[in-house]
Amino acid sequence: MSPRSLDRTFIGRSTEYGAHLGDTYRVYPSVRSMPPTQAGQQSGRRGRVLSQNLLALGFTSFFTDISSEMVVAIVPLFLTTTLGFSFFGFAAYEAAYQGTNAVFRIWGGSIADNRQSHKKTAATGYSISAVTRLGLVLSALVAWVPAIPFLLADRIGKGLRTAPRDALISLSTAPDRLGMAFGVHRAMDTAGALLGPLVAFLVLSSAPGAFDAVFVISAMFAAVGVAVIWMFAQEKPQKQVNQNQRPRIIDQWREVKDTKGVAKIATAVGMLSIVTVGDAFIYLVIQQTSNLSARYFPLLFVGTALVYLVLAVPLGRLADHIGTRPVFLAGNALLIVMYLVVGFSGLGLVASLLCLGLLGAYYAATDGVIPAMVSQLVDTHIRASGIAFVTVVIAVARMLSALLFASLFETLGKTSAMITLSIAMGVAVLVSIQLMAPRNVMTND
Amino acid sequence: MTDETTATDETTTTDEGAADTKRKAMLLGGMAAALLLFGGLYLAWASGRVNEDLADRNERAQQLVDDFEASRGPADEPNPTSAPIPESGPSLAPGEVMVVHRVPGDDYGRLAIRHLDGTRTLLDRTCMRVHIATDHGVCLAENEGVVASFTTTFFRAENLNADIKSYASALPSRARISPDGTFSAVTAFVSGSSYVDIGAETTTIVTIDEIDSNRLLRGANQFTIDSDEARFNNQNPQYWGITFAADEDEIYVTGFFGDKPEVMHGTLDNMTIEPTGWVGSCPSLSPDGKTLVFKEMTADNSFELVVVNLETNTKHTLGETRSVDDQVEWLDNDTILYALHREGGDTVVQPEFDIWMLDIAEGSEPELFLPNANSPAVAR
Repeated sequence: MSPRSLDRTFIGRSTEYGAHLGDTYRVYPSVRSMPPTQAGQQSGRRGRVLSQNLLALGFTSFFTDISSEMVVAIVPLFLTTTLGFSFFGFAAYEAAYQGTNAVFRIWGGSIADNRQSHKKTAATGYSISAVTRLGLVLSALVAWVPAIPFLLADRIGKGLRTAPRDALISLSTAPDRLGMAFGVHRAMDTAGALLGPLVAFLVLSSAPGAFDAVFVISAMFAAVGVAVIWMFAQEKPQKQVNQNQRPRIIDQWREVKDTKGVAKIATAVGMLSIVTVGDAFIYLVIQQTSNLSARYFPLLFVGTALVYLVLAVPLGRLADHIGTRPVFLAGNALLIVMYLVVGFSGLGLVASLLCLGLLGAYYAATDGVIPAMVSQLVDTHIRASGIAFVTVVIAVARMLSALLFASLFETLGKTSAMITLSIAMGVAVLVSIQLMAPRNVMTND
Repeated sequence: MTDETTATDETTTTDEGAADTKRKAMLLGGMAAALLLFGGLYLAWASGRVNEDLADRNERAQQLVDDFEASRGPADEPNPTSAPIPESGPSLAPGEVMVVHRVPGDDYGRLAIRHLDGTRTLLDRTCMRVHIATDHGVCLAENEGVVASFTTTFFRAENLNADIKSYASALPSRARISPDGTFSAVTAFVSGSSYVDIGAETTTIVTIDEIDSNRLLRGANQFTIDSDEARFNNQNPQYWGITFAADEDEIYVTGFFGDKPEVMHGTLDNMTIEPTGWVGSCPSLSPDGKTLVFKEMTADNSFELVVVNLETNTKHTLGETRSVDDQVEWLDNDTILYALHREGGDTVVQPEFDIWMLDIAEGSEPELFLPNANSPAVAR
């Protein structure tokens, strides 16, 4: 047996096949709980990354993102123009929407952990979203069928699937390859997000105004995504603490919170998210500052996504080598540079491109790295809840951030607001370095 | 258990797994192929349906245009829409009107000249919106491509092939050339696409340009507001729909400072604006500078046209009951032109508009000026 296959066998015991093979094998819920010698071996040889589950989930996300971005691309301003929402009505809707998403995210994480059914829960979420496409086809063909309930149901599906899916990725991957695994997944996800609007455009250019055709094709992609996850993804059941007595959500969350390092990581991530300005806002500032870039406005998203796509895997690998926390913190530090560029420059072409590059690199260094970081801490039987916990903290922090920044920008103006933010981000990064220091978070990484 | 048995176990599992995976992959491939076929067929059907619909609409619109022309001019004239395109461009006689042709089909969006007798000649330039004054014209056009992008082009109205300059733009909305042809003012939507929710989702940018020079563009938000009123401290005002006076200095513009859009009055030389006290938007000043028409928003979010006599400062509502979302153009000092979306028509694919004519005297009723056209610009 070659060293590599030995290594695979080892990984198999610890995470992949453990529960399938029965109790004969000692199942190690996480790196942290492994005997020191084995954990030591772990860092010497690296497990495989492209497991069947990762590929299945990656392709599911790829097809689903094509499907959903097709819809997003052709329903611009749907709420404000069609329903005539006011600004505050829109803000209230946004809040309700985010709230619903958070509730279903928590719920999805809890169910997946309780029943050890990460695949089933995630696949159900994907299936709900796929079915809503048929509803949209109906609403495009029949005048009195509203589209809104289907758009909302799609978000429910999204909330439900996110945490179980990320948990399943982590459970299917060796602990020291998590960064790369999430990088691969996010890259496939982003590739789908980039292709979606293109497909929608191609459909609409061959059949102008035929939104039903866009929704039908979107449903086709969603169906392929759903088929992939149901057929190819496999459950990775872990040992259960209480077979007969399923813990309540509140208990799961208490356990997540009490896991060493989680509270500190969540505090750091939440704090950093509060001083993180949303990409939509950065695009708007770039667009408004420089008339030159008006034509590039739709391309700003594409530029950022391309950088993210390219950097997701390399930065994930880097996280596996030097640790998730340094990469995550460095990603946030990139935002300081971006804030200063936005604040001080007239945002010509070069500065705008630099901002997009920094923003894309920030996403590559954080979006997939956060679940990898959480997975390294949280025990397998509450993995999905742990990921849900941290992502909900981020969502709440981003909502606060949007409110905070709107008022900051109004009162201080662009340059002062960006300087203030970059200082705040600098402080937040320094505090996070302390909070996330190895002694505070984990013993081996 | 020894390592050996583990290996055997795994091999068995892997073999079974591989066979299973292969079977599933074939199943998935079959399913994807079936879906692809269904999607392709649906798209082909939808595309056929759209083309058929467009051909129908083209026929009906063409009939409308022919009927309109027949009702006004001699019936035995050749169909002007099939007339050859002039080589260098039109020479517009005073009273002739440049419009955007809105007959669904291949010629949709082309510029056209409406002659005095109601016939039209199609021109070789495609625009979403056009305006001309003297020899200067401005054309706001959408570029072809995957992402929506737009270009503002200045051209010689006497020679459509002679571009003066052009630059990239956001989604265009309003266009005006000053009476002497010195300046242009273009309003574009930075975000959103409707004046109904201005300040919320919709934000606009107005650029004022000196057409024959390369001087920097001036945005309306660079103007100083000559007023102490608190609402003008708004950090994010929106401006749109400029109209120029004959002296090439005085302007009227719509300003939004958080509550309701209002008509502002200003001067280009001093770059200052001040409130007029009129609540409304998209002002348009008559050629003699004596009358201002703008639209007021009603309770049900539609727009009605009102006219202000600037000499007597009196205002009355015009006799148009439909909602007009347009910056009106003056045919002469007593008559305005504006476009209305055809009621019940398609709003997405090549929507149809008609140009209506209305006397500003109280009690006048609108009259069809030109079917299947919009964005009128009158040659003087």
